Amino acid sequence: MMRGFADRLETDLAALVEHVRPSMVRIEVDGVGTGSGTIWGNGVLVTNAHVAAQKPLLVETEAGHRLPARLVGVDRKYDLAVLEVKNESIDWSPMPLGDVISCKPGELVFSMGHPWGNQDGFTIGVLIGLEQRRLRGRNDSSEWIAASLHLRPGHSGGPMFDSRGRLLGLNTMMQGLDVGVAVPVYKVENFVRRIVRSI
Amino acid sequence: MAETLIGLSQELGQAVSGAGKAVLRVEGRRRLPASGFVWSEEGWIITANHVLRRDEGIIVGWEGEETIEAELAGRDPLRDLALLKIPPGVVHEIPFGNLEDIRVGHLVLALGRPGEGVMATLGVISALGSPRTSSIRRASRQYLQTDVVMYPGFSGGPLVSASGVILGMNTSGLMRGASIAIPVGRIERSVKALIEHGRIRQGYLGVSLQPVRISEQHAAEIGQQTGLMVVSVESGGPAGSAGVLQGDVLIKIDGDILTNMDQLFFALGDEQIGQTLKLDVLRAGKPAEMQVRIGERE
Repeated sequence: MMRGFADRLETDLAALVEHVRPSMVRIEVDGVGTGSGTIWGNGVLVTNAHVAAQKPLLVETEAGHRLPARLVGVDRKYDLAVLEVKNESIDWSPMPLGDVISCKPGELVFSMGHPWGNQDGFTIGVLIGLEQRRLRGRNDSSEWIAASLHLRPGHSGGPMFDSRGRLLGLNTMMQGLDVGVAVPVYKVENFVRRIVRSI
Repeated sequence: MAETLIGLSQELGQAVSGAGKAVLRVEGRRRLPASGFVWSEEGWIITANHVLRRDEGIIVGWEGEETIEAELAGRDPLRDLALLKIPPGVVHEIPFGNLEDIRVGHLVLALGRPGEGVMATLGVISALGSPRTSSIRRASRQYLQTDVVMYPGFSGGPLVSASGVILGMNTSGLMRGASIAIPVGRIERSVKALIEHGRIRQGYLGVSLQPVRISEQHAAEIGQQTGLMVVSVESGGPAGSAGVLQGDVLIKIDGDILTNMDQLFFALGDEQIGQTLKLDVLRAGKPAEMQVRIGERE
């Protein structure tokens, strides 16, 4: 009985990884791997600003396609960047968007990326909560997802998602070794809307 | 699709939102608020002793922006507990779990409310009781060790089972680098003592002590470099009656090494009062043993 439950849990976890993997890319700047990206729409990718740069950009898809990309917009406040890839023959798998606002603390969350250039870097934890941060020296605050999972360099720009594989945010920071911080998906959405209109 | 995983996630979320109703924000120090939880609907609130840096002007808050001033009813520094009182009927209690059902490996959630909303981290029970090598072994004999991440401001919040019942109070203030929870049964005893007497009884030896270095020769022999030298002895006190003399160096009590004052403090809890413990000393460089009946600090 108990074993059956653990088996089903493992099957579900493996399926979740397979489900999300095609929506992730690896990013290279000037030939050096800098982090991960998440597929937002056809030819539109989102990542962290600190992962991208106005230099020769390359994204590598899960299927192994290596494609030149263009940096089309940056938001410093949320460390966000939008990349555009022009290629008609690629079958893009954008991630469905989740609703992090109605997520309860304690619910399972997951992250993937390319820590140290490794594929997948799957990590599991729970939503700690949404966190307000005052911006130093400015009368402004920002909103972040705090999760108790293990983000490492290279996870940046990869997806944080729920147990149905829906995007909750973009992995952005480590807060110590045991807390991962992500930009909430609604902040990413606002940003992409602003940028993509002007592509 | 992934029904087991989704089910687990939902249950954990429900455990947090259910138990979270009893989780409070406790403002008793500068900058970062900490957490506490409702002990009973009469208005007794549990929090961690180390997060209360003042005795007055303690504020508790819960969902939304509601806050109320709490009165400090007492502290139990040995277990890092503090008891607060607010008017009855303002907050709701949630069920407590039974520690006998807890096994190493069980899923547990640490809940806190350093801000407005309840927050949670997940982990497992790592150990029941704490390692023998710990200097606070005696005090922590019945503690729960977990691997939950103690997010800033989580101290004083409850440890909750996957089904949402409260198992204990989390603190990062008792052991560096370890997440420790004081089980509800232990809290209950402290709460009772604090409500009845306003304080926790403390064991008493009747000596003044000072940490000293032990000569190299003796240090190698007994395996410790420092001990506690007796500077004065209260005549007729527990140590005096046991034959302890000025100039003796205490090196062990009940088999636990004494290298600093904290260790003695932790060794003389309320449970030791009235017990006869073996005291190892160095007298004029020679090891000696004494039996001391622990008194109660007035």
